[in-house]
Amino acid sequence: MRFTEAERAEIGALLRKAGAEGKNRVHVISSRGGWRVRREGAQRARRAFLAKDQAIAYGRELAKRLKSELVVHTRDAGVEARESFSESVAYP
Amino acid sequence: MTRGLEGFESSLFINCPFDGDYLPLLHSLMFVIFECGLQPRLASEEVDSGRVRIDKIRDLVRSCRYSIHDISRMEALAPGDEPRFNMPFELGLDLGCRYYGASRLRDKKCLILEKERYRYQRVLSDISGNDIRAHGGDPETLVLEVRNWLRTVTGMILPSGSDLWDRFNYFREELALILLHLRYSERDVQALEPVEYLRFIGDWKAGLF
Repeated sequence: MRFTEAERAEIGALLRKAGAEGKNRVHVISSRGGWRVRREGAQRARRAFLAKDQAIAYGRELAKRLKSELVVHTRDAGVEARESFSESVAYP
Repeated sequence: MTRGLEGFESSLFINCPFDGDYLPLLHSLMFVIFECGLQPRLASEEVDSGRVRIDKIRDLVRSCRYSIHDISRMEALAPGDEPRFNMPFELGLDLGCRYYGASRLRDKKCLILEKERYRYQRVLSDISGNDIRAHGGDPETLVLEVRNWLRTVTGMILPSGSDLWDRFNYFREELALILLHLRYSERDVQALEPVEYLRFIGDWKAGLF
């Protein structure tokens, strides 16, 4: 699979947009057998949990407070779920 | 983070499986290498049916100061499967290059990865004196091990392992959104060539910083 120049330009624009919008997103990330909650752009993780559901609950409250988005990751860094509490971003 | 190493000094040959089960590990491996300022090099980066694979491997071994060899497929994945010997063979070429190659090749550095720490000793005892690192099939552990090794052999100041792992998570999320926008199906994403995935990593880094 190869991209045309136009497609690559579109990808570049999307990447820059995602980067600009992503600074406040809250992520639930696998961490050495447990899970940690970290806001994108923050210097360090907010809190660490043993149970994923506890990390998700904490992350969800944080994302609500920030009017941002919650991104829940899988152990291999994939995306398991997204929730938006932002007025400008809505996921299907 | 330090960039600026050129050519041979900044190139890292990845010798690893390319099957679907290994993809999450390969993706995280390419990401951490790139984030640490080195250029990942793969045998699949050049599509030329006129060249035999061993010639491509020879050129890669000769043009990369660093290499990472994951020999975790020396045993069959499932009953009835065959074990894979490409990885230990290419590891042998790389180690041999240090002994028989030109002077600059004698200072090459390599990291040998396995799934379990001492499993390789049953089938490849010649390297039992080498320091082998285990990733347990876990991408996060792989990122931490590779980062720590690169810190040691390059002397560069690098981000922490947990920071690199978090950034890989951010990248995966943004890449998923972009591929969704480009109407890629899950099958298309799985079929991305490693070289193409590497371009996405480069684009992401260039777009954000």
